[in-house]
Amino acid sequence: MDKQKWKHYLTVFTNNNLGMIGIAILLFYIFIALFAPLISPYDPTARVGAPFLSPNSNFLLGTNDVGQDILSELIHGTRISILIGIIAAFLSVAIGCLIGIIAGYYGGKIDNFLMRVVDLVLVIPFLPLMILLAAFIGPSFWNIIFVISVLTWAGPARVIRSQVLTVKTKGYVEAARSIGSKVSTILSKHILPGVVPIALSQFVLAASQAILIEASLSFLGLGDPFNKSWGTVLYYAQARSAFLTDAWLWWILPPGILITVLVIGFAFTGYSMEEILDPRLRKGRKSNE
Amino acid sequence: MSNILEVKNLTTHYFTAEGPAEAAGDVSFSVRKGEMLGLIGESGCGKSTVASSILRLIEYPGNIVSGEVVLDGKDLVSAKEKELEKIRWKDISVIPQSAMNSLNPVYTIGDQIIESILLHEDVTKKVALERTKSLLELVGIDKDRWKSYPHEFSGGMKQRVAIAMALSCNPKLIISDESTTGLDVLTQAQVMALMKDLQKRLDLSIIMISHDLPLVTSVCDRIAIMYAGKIVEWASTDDIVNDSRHPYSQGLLNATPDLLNPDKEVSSIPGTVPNLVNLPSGCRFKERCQYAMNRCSEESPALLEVKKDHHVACFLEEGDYRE
Amino acid sequence: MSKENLIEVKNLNKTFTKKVGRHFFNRKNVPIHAVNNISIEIKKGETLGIIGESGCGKTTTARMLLRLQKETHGEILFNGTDLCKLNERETSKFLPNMQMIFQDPYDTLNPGMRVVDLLMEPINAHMKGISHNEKIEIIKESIEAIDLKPAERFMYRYPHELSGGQRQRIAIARAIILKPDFIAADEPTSMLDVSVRAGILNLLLKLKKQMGLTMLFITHDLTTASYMCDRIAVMYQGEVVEVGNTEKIIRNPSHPYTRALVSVVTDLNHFIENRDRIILDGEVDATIEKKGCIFVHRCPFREEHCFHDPPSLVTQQGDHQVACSCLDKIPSGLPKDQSLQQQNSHSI
Repeated sequence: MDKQKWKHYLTVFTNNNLGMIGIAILLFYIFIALFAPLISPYDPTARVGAPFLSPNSNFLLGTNDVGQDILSELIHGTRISILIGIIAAFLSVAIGCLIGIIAGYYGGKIDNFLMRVVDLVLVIPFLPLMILLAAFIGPSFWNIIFVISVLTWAGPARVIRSQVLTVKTKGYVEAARSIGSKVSTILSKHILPGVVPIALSQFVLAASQAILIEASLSFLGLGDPFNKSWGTVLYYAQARSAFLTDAWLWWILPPGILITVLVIGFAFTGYSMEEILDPRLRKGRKSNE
Repeated sequence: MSNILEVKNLTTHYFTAEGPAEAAGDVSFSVRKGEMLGLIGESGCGKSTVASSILRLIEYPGNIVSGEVVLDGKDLVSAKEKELEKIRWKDISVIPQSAMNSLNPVYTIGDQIIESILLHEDVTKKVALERTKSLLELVGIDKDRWKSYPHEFSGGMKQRVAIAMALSCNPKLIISDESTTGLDVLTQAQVMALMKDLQKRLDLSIIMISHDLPLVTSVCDRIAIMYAGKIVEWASTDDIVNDSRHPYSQGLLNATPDLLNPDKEVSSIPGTVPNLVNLPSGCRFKERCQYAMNRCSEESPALLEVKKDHHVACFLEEGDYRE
Repeated sequence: MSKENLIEVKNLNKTFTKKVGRHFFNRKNVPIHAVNNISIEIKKGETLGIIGESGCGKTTTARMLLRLQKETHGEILFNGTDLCKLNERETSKFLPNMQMIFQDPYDTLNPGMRVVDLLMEPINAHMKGISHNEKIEIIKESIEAIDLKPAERFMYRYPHELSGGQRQRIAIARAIILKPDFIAADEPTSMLDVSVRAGILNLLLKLKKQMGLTMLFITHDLTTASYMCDRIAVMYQGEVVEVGNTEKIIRNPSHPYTRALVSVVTDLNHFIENRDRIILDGEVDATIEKKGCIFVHRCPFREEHCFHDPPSLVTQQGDHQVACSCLDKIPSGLPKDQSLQQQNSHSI
């Protein structure tokens, strides 16, 4: 890709405060996820104390119903939440790219058909179907990813299709056709590079969406019981009536805050990326050439 | 003949992230009453900057650094914004670059012309409507079409509407900024014919900004040629065509084929236009000039009057350098 | 098909449909004839110019020749083969023989690719089984052929590091790298600055001579056409109204439209003074249903029958063809004849 362009994106991005805050938040979470075993004080699966302890110097956020350290659970949960979020978002955007590029490039009947499918996926009542699907195929790490990506690819597909339509009208695509390049060459060398920046910002937004969905599914008890995520922690808190006692302060609020801040981090990053890609901003670059 | 507009040593900079770009450097010229002056040059040479500087419509990050723009004895560069508002459109009006797109699609063309009259003059709506009708007739549009919307007109017709609008307050000077670019050859000729007619009938002064040398040489009385923010030659059309002195003007003339003389060898000017932010010292054309000498790198040639009404900015005119 | 013609276009048509009408129920599909039954021949080794204003169908014609667009009906014979009957795979075998140079060099070079990648594309598409080094050699040769020397200096640059003229040269290199027989150039200089245009024109002339190219040169500018072309076809609203030798068209234009064009370019002032006798006010409107002559609405010499009977191209002398049924009634010699002899100084 055009180095100049990426350099320009980077300068715009670093000048954007919101974007920098977003990136800082994301880096913080990724750090926690990567070094979870080193940071967390206890093994999250081990019973290290009496059940239902309030926060004290040994257990900063107290213990849960079976005597596991809540702080360690949350730190390890970061791994699961982020992993699910990123993999699901990647799959969702990958499907979206595929569908969007095919629909946009070929146009006509194919486009019409695919876009009607996209419309259908977009209008399906989201949560009930997801619950149904998750309950049907059973709770597991990969099943959750599957459910999320199958139900969220439609948005990216639509955005990417419209970008393909723009790139398709560029003179260099026509020139490649007149040279006699194969369709696969045109798609990979000319169309795809024009789509990548949009796909990236879609990925960031999809990741935050995926993390929220994962949390909701887990909260409803449809999460993977062997890989506890924040949602699962919340599920157990709810099941053990933490909402009714003082325990909500250390058992429910922290995972809630973690989820909220992470989603905000993704949103900030995503919005500032979109701002960079806004054609009105790109005009300024063109005149500099 | 008296000068209606005098531009003296006008310098306008654009303060870009890489540094100031001198889009107009020490530009001086004048427009006489009833004259059509052609201001020509290639893209990015600063001709539109000069036009916006005259009206003080330079947009951020641009700014007029120094110089004077004297309209009827009044300097516009130092004038207050309030005074300028009265001068714009009333004394100097513009036919913009994309005249075809400068009309608002949701109002009738009549409404738009009436509005521009009412904004600047204290007349009743009825008077304004009457004037609108006569303006439309003047530019060759049926006067009953004032109720039409812009999309009902073709490109050439919209151009005529834009001309009518520019005439709406009887301006002393009209600036036509590449206003026929993009029109078809014949439509462009017809619009030019209209402007020429109007110029004669209303004794208008027109600054015609264009990149099209053949077009400008056919209709303008005098021509100023700009290169990289400087005026390099300013003379009567006849002198430009038959006795051009500046190497750039000569290069431009040599770069255009001649319809009636297909054997004429055309050649382009080697090299490219310098970056306005990082201008070379001395003459800005020296890197592309076949006559360049040491002196050209040391100092910048001033625009000198080499004979009556013929101004050239080149050291070749100062001595007997040219063999 | 005569042997000396490389390309013969026979009754080529391209019709678009446009929806007209504001309401859902009375909406109609109106056909717009972008290219209407045109027949042209391009001889081997010649440059044919197509001249006309925007929207007259000249670019559509070239795009159909290059198979970038499907025709509605008609025949395009390239060396005797009807391109319109070929499927996609067969067409792509023909493409190395015919290439196109596009109008906007800022748009036709992918900004993310270096010059060497851009020129590698046609090689990869059509030249199988040669080594990477050989490919690089071919690329170097082609860069030097377009007068960008030394080639190494330009090969690894991105388009935004090149000037407009240099970009257009790279686009030309991409078109000639497969050594085609035929090149269609679609207004290759209209987006460039005046001072570099001549270089591109001269380069095309040089390449044509060196490689024995046959060329289709599309332009709206009669002066450029006269510099480049052996023959000129004048198009108006999708139809060819006059074809002939360049010299003949310029010295002795016959169709009223051609006359108007020539008079504007040779002496604009004369046109301005006599414009009522040269062309009537009015503009192209593609949606008007045409029955008679396409130029009738702007023709100062029109007669009653022109509104009903469309004229067809009739051969005058040699290969000079004109589509006008009133030729004998138009006063011979334009009002501009005098200025022609004087070699008017204003037409540079």
